[in-house]
Amino acid sequence: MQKTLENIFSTSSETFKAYRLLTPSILLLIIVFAFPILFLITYSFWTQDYVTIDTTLTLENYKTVINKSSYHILIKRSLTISSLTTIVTVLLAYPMAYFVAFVVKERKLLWLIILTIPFWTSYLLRVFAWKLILGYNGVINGSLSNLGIIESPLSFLLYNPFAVFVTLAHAWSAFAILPIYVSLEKIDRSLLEAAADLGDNAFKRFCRITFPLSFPGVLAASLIIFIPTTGDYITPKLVGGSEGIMVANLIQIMFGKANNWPLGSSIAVITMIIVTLSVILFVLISRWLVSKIK
Amino acid sequence: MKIIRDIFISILFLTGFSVKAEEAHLYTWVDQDDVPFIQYYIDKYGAEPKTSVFEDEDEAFAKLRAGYSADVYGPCSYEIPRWRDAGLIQPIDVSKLEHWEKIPDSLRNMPGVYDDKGQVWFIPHLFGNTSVIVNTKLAPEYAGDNNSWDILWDPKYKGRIGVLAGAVDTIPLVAAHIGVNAYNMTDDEWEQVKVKLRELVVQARLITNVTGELESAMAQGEVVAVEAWNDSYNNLIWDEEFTDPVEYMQPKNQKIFSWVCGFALSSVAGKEAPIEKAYALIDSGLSVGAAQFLIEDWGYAPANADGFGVASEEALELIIVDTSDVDAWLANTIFQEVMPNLDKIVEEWELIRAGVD
Amino acid sequence: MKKFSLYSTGDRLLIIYAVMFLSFLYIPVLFLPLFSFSKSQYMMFPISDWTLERYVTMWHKTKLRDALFASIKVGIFASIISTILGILVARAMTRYIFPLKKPVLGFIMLPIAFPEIIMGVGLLIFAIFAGMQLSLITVTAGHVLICLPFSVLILISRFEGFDKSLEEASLDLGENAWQTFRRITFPIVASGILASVLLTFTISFDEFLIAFFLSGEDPTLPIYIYGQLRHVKNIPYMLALGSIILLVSFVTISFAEWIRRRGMKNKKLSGLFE
Repeated sequence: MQKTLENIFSTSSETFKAYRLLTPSILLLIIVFAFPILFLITYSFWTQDYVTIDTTLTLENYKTVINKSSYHILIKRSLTISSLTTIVTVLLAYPMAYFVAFVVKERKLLWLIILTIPFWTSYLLRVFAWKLILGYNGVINGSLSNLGIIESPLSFLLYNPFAVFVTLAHAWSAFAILPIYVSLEKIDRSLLEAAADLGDNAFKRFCRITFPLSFPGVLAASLIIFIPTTGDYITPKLVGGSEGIMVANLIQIMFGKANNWPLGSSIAVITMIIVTLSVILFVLISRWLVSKIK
Repeated sequence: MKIIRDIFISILFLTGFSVKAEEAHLYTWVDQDDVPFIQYYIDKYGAEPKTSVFEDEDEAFAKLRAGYSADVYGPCSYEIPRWRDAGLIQPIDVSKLEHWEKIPDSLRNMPGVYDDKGQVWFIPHLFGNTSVIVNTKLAPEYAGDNNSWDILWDPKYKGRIGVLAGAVDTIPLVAAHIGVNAYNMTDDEWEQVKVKLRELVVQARLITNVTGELESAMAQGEVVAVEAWNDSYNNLIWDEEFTDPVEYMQPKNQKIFSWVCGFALSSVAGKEAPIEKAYALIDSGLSVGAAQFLIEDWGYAPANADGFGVASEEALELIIVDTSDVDAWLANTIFQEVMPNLDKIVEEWELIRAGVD
Repeated sequence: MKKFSLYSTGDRLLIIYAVMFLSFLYIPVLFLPLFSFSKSQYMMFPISDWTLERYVTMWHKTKLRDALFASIKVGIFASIISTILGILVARAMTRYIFPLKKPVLGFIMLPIAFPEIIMGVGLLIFAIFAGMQLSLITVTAGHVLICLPFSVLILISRFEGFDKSLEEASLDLGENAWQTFRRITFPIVASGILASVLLTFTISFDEFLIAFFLSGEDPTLPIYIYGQLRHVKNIPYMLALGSIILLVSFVTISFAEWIRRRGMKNKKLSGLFE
């Protein structure tokens, strides 16, 4: 015991050396991450009183959020849009990642670069590009009416949850490819050959080997998309119209126009909890599913 | 160690290391920092004032409460009570202003300028209106004498209406349309207004605080009518790509709204730059040159009435204000004020806007 | 053509799919440059009149330049700081065994699992409480936070394959720690460091929400673009700007790829861009 403690505190011990390297990052995280989140949580128990903040601790904001169905609808809407985006994006990205990993034989890096180039321009402008496409005199309406298919422009293309979904799916698809590709690339090809030798057809090989082994990548891709899209602000703001407004817009309104930071904080905290719970639930369910498949 | 030197220099660069004489700082609406608005100051001190801009007052209010500051702010009159209550601004000594006397009485005595103790908190700079612009080619039945805000709820134009997102514009207008005074309404009346607002949200193609989006939707025929400020009307007239006839509605038996934006003096004014420079900044906005620019380039009416005397004929024609008697004209409109319980109303309006209330 | 025949039916379907997928990725983005040449201030398709005016006058917008420089400054600082921190973390994680290793790593990676809006408002509240003026410094701090997990991810994967004995040999030969790092460690992990700097710079350069809450009077480029998108007349300029960013990225990547190719022949450089 004495020995171990000595080991830990001696300047030559691995622990000391490791923590010496880690200290700057841990300090940064405490100041720029842990403190802000703690402050956010504290704020959520305070209340706004016109231009001042009442610092008596209370559950008032949480009661407001829990009792007001408007907030529930907005949170549900955000989760629906982001889940749908996640599922569709991952489904679309998987064959592409598979293609690069298994069909492309050389210059794989080049393929990956080609896949990411469209994402090297501003996110805002990528979102805005969909306004050009879906707009009243945009590409789709312009083309259709030029071809004589429609007489007056279709107005249902823009300013709705569907526009948000399409835009998000486009904006995030490259981010889904990379983790899936990495996990596919790691698969030991001899496993597949062995399975083929044992008489498994391509479909069986995919179900029994490729998919389960690439699953960590699918999981990572899903989380990489689900978390930020739930909290996306720009896309609903630019292409969402009224029905596409999501929870991040609500939080921003509370911190801006509605001037109610404590209520905004509690909505943020609730969103944070819901996102975390969804992620845990999602991971558990998918692990269970994979074990079933295996 | 060149790297260390470079890093050091970059740090100085990042922290904005500078040693220049302090100039007054104007924090105002985007584009209201154009040169004509600060020319008077430049002439007087031979240097440009610092400027920074906000896109809307809520953003400004949030940032100022977050510790940001300048010497002079450019809010509209209805913002004054809450900025004052939050301790962001201080009373203004009008005797230090060269152009104060040029402002018409109706503006100098409007709500927001004086407090109960007779102190001045707000200097009007410009005014405009909130009403509805209609494309009379697409909706001829609302032309001329038939101007009516009813068009916003007309089932015939469902999905072809644009609405301002700002609660300070839209809520008083909708309330006024059903005979409610938004600046003094009971809970019951607010419920009635909310019913109309929900209908309006269903009618609307877009609800935005970006006036350019409303103009562009009008110009492309995407919408038939928009609730808008009068400068949008000017912009549509000036737009060479758009030739349809439009009218800025002045319905019979319905006063349209007037809003007045201007200057407030920061509670920290005089700390970094001499306070005289802050006053010179306000005077810059009130100068005749600025007034002329407002009329000719923006289509807004200046608070300095001398501006009407120097502006071009064609610009004056587009101004819907009766420049022969500004006081009388303004008296026939409703000044935008602050709604009691604004934060609550804004929150409810935002939820209605999102279609979830 | 000869090569193509080697592909099976399934592979051919995948090739068709890949082409469709690439179209889905590229076409929407390519409308940005297309519309930037449209003379109309409205976004109307098909485009009838063309102009180069946006590209000529764009550079007169001083605020655009200021915002661009602000973003570059923030990006450089955020990427360098997060990469330095990332190197330290990755080294600790790959070289030593110590208590609470996994929880500490989890803590450092945690910001990835938070929607940015939450961190944005949290940082805003904290900055106000700490009496900090909102400025590019607060933005940079926020960006380091979101960049660090990516630096750590990239660098850990680089350091994992690193052979400890090389460093030991160097130390045995009497070189000090700094010399060892400079002559042995750095060249080996250089590609990882470069990747980390590039990726984090991109993340910071494009970051909107945190900067939205944390910037003071100097906007970063995304904040500036967002403001400009609200002025219909200025939108075409933003499309031109976006096209230029796209072009610059394309050229940079092509250049990097070119160097890599050359490096293939010249073995010394080959590690850099892999």
